[in-house]
Amino acid sequence: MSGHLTTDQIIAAYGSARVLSGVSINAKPGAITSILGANGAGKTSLIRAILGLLPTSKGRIELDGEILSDLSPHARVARGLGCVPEGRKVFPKMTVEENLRVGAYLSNDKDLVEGRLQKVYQTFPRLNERKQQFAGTMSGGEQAMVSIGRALMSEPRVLLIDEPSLGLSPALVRESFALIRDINRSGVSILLVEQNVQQTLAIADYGYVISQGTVVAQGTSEELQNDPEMKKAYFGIR
Amino acid sequence: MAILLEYLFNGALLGVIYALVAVGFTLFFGVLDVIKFSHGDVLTLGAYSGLAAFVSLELLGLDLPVVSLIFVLVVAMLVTGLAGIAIGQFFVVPMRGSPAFNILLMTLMIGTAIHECIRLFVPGGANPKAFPTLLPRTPIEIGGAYIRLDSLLLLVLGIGVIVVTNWMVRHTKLGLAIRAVAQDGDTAQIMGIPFRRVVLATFALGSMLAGVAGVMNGLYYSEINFNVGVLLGVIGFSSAVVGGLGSIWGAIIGGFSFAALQTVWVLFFPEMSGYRDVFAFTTIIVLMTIWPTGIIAERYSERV
Repeated sequence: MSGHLTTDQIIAAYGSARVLSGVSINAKPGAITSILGANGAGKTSLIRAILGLLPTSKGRIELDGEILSDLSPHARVARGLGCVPEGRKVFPKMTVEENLRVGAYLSNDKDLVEGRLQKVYQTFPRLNERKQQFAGTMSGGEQAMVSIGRALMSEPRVLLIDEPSLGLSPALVRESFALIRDINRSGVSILLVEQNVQQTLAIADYGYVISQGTVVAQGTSEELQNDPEMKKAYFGIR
Repeated sequence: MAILLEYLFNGALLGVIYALVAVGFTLFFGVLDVIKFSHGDVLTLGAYSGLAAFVSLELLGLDLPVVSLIFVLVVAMLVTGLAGIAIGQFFVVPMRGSPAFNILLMTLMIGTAIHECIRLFVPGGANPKAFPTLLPRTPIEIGGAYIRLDSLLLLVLGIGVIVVTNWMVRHTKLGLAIRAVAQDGDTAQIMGIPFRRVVLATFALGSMLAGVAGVMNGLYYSEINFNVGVLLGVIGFSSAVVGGLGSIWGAIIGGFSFAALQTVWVLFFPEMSGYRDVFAFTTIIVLMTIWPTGIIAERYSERV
């Protein structure tokens, strides 16, 4: 099975402010791996570093044995990374269908793109009804569908999902977590960044807790439930 | 009535030239949030390379008006397109993280260098150069008004180029990438869009429009000079700002509005036609205080 993403001691900074100081994670093929941590712990920075949007000064990022660290973001996507960014980041002045087509930018096979489009519309019938609507005029839940559908259009081997629950109602959060599990069962490895601990641990196979740019705890969901580092990372209890 | 029609027609022709320049400004601002002030001088470069193409055809003894026109346009677009890519690749993209002011100043200096080089290196470069007549000047009568055939063809050409550009941005894969980069550069990259390549393609596209505008301007006035792009650049930039920087339709509306202002002035005060730019710019300053974000404000418009 493919879709094995690892980072090895990566270090990254915004200007002189170091945001990642030697983060190593191992997202196993076919698994849901979660990254937990409080606001500002470095979760989103880690995602941006993996995608190449945040340059890393040291360390190595690998996908299925291939080194990604020196590639530009679009080349990393071409190697099989997909992303549902924090805040969904749909293209507001594009229609739903155009958003989805941007997701398949790297594929030049028209029939293939058409097939994937139909598959996304099957998963989200709502998007099929609204394919000509500007994505910026849609509700948060609908934009979440656009963002997830767009990421699936490239048929990634590893899907990075950053805070899917942000700004959604509890019912929609439950729905998106169920959907993430479905996507995972279809054979896509998932790296899930979340603040919503209980629901994340319920679907994740393995998790890492990040605090101040380093991994402070890791383990299976059961192990993390009872880890004292977990509470510290979230509530600052010492 | 006939006079009115002639004014309207000439205004439309000027409008289409301004719109071509303004669309370039809007495209650059769209993808990179930069104001590229060398744009007008790239237009001058286009006009001179078109002229050079014509002169070399003449030296070869070829004298076929239609072929010459196409050749002149192709050379002008090629040179301006490459100039756009070079300015983007070596100056604007590397300076991406720096304040907008620095980029504005830098491109202003690049533009000055371009037109100074033309003045110094072109033989007799300080003087105006006659631009060849490549289109038939047959007068056509429309409703009592006489309109030159070449002007009519130029108008059709300009509108055609704008329509094709708009279609490209709306309906091709490159256009999709340009719009994605314009709306959210980071997200565009993680969809697999090669950022730098798309930005440079946009610079090429916008600069090629300036090349067309430069040739059209030369054909219309039968004359070019090394300074022609300076005023056209400012007019194009003002048009883009009035229309709402970042919107293609805004740039087109802005270009035609500027020409309309000039035309209205000449129509009412023919003996003071030299003040048409003063009037047009003054009106635009007033318009900008009323609508600071332009006629089509970016947040309501479909950006690029």
